[in-house]
Amino acid sequence: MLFNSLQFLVFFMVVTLLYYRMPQQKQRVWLLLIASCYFYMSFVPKYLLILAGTIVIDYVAGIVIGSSEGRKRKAWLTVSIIVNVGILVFFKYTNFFLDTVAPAIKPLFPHAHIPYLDIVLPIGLSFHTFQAMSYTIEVYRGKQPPERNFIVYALYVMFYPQLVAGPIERPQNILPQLHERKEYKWDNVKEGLARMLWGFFKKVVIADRLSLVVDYAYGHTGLSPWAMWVGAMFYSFQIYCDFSGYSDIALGAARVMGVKLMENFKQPYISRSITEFWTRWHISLSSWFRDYVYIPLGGSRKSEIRRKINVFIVFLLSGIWHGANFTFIIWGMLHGLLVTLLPNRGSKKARLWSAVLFGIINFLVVTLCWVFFRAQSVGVAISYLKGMFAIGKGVTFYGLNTMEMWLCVLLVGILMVREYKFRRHLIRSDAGFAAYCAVMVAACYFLGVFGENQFIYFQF
Amino acid sequence: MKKILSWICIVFGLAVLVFGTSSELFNFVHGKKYYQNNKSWWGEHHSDNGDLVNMAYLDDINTFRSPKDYVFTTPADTGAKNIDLYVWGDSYLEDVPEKAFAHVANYHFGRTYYEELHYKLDKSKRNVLIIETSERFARPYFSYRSIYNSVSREKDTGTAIGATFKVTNSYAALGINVGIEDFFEGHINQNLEFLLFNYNFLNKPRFLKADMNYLLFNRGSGNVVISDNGRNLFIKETILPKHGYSSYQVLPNSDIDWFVKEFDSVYDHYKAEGFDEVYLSVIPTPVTILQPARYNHFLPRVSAHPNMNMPLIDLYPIFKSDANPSRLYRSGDTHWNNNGMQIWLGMVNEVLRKESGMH
Repeated sequence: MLFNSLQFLVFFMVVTLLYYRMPQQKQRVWLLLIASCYFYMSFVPKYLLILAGTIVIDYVAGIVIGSSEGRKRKAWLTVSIIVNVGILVFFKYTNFFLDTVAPAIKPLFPHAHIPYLDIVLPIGLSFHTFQAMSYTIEVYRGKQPPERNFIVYALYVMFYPQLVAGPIERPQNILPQLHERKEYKWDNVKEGLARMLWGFFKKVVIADRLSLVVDYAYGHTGLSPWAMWVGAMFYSFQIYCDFSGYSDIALGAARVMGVKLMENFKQPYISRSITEFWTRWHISLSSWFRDYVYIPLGGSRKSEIRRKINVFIVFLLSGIWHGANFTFIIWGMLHGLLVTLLPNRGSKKARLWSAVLFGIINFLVVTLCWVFFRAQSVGVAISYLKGMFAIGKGVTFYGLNTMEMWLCVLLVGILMVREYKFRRHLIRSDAGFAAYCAVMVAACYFLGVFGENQFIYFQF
Repeated sequence: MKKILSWICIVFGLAVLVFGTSSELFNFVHGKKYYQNNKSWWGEHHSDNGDLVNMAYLDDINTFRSPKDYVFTTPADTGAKNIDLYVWGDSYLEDVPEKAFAHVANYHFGRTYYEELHYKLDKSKRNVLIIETSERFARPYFSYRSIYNSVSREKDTGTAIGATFKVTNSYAALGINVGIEDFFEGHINQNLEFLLFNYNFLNKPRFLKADMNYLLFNRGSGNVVISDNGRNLFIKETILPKHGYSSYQVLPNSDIDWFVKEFDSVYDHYKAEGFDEVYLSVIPTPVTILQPARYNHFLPRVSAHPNMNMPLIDLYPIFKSDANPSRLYRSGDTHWNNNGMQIWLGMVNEVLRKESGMH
C-alpha cells in the first residue's frame, strides 16, 4: 500500500477515526497493530511471517537481556543482532554475493553451478531490522527497560506510518508514546494533515514530475552536458522530495493520532559542507550509525587518523545498507572520503555570500555523488559522469516541453522557499487551514503526475 | 453529531475497501454502472472516440477522435461451406461476424479472459483453429499452460486437462491459507478510483486536467502517452523499456527461444487433438508499426526462428511495408481500424480458401 494511493487514504481515514473512537489505550494498540499488519501484508502477505519471527526473537531477547546479567545478556544481544543482520544479509545480499563470487571462482571450478535465488526483498526490511536492533542494543546498554507487553513491542516495530521507509525510530521516543493514551487535539490533526498534504505535494507534484526528466536523461544517450547536468540536478531534488515527502506523510499520519516521530530531514540542500549535509539528510539513519557503529568503534575519542577511519567505515556501511550494488558502495565511499577530507563549515557563522557560494558548491558535489546512487551500474554512472563533462557534444533535450521545464524550475523554487522560510505545518486559523487544504488538494490533483511510482526508498 | 459523522465515515470507508477488494462485489457495482447511459449522473464515462481517448479524457481533442469504422462484407466465394473455424482471440476480433469468413460452416469464437472456447471436432469438416493475440499481451500472457486451460475439448470444459498444469500456490508451502492473496486484491486502487470517482458528475475536473496536460505540456493523462509525431495515442506500457507489454523491452535470444518453444507446444497439442490446421496470428501493437525506432523486433524474430513450426498469419511484414501505416490504426485507440482489419481478414480468407475442398 503506497502512501500516494487511494487505498492508503481510505485506510488512513478508517484507522484514524476508529483510533479516536476507542476509549482505552489497550484497544488502540490492538487496532494499530492489526492495521499495521494489513498495511504490511498489502505488499507481499507472506513476508509478515518473517517480520513476526524477528519480533518474537527480539521481544524475548529484550526481556532476557533486561532480567539477566553477564554473559547471558551479551549472548542474547548477539542472537538478536545475528538474526536481524542475518535476515537482512540473506534477502538483500545473497544474490549480490553469488553474482560477485561466481565470476571469481568460475576458473577454479569450471563445472560448478552457482545458484541464483529467486527471492524478493521484503519491503522496508532495512528499516525495521535497524529499528528492532536499536531496541535490543538500548536494552543491553541499560538505557531502555525491556518492553513486557508483546503487543506494544510488536507495534513499536510495525507502527504503519514508519514501517517501510522510516524514520528509524528509537525505543525511548516511541514506546512511552504507545503506552500513553493520546487525547484528541484539533491542533494535532491540523498539523498532521497539513504535513501529509505537503508530503503528497512533494511526491506527486514535484518528485514524480522531475522523474520524467531524470528518467529521460538516464534512459537516452547522445544528450548534451547541459541536459545531463539538468537531469542530475533534478534527481537531487527528486530523491529529496520523494524521500522527505514520504517522511512528511509518515510524520503527519502519526501526528494526527498524537504520536510524534523524529524528524528525518532539515533542508539538506542549504548545507555548506558534506558533514553538515549528513546532519540534515536521513537523520534517523545517520544518527543510528553514529550511536551504534561510530561511537562503539571509538568515535573521536582516539587519534585523528582512527576517527577518520571510523567515519569512513560508517559511510561504507551506509552505502552497503542502501543496496546490494557496487553503485551504492561507491556512493557511500565517496561520501566517506568527502567527510573525512573536506573541512566542515556547518558550525561556523557565515556571511550570506559565503553561505550561498559554499551551499552551491556542496549541492553540486552531492549531485555528482547521486549519479552513482541513481545509475543502474557503475559503468552507467561513469559514462553519465563523462557525458556531463563532454563539452560541445550531444543534443539538449529534456523529455518535457519548455513550459513543463519551467514549471519544474518553479516547483523547485517553491520547495526551497517553503522549506526554508515557512517550516511550520500548524496553521492556527481554521479558515487558513481549510484554504491551505483546498489549494494543496487542487494542486495535487491538477499538477500531480499519477502512475505506479513507488517511493525510491521502498527498495531499501 | 461528530460521533455519528465519524461512524458514518468509518462504515463508508470499510464498505469501500470491502467492495474494492471483493471481485464479486466490485463486478456487481461495475456491471450496474457500466450500462448506465452517458447522461446518468452515476454512470461512467464512455467515449465512442477510442478506448485511449476514453481513458485519457481527451474527447475534446479532434486529432485523436477515431470512432469504430468496421465494415463487414461477405466474401464472394463462400459456396462450399466445409470449415469449422475456431478462433481464440481478443478485443481485435470481438466484432468480427461469421459472415466475414470464407467457406465457414460453423464459427466459434472464444475471447481471452471472458469466454472459454470448447471444441467438439466434426471429422467430416475441415477444422481450423486460429489463435490470435495482440502483441502487447503475447509475451506476458502467452503460455502453453494458460491456452490449454481456456481452449479445450467440450467434454473437458476446461478443467480436466488444465488440472494437470495446476499452478502450485506458493503460500501453501509457508502454511498460509490458500487464497490469501485474494484478500489483498492487486487492482484495489483502480477499483477504488472507480468506486469513488468514476461518475459522470465528476468528469469536469478530469476533462480540465486532461486538456491542460495536453495543451500546456503536450502530454496525455495517466496511462496514455502521445506519439512522437503527435498524431496517435499509445498505452504507456507499450513504450516503457522494462515492461512486459512494451515493444521497446529488450529481449534476449533466449526469450525468443522460449516463446517459440511455447508456440510449438501449442501447435503440437492442438494438432494432436485433431485440428487440421492451427495458426498463430499476433497483431502488431500500434507502437511497433507507427514508432518503430526502438522496436525489439519480437515478431520478425519469432517468424524467422529456425524452430518455429507453428504456421503464422503474419501481419507484421504487410503492416511494416505499408506506405502510410497510420491508416491502419485508430489514432485514439489501441486497436486497428477498418483498413487494418480488412488486411487481416483478407489474409485469413486466403488461408481458408487455399485448401477448401480438401475434405
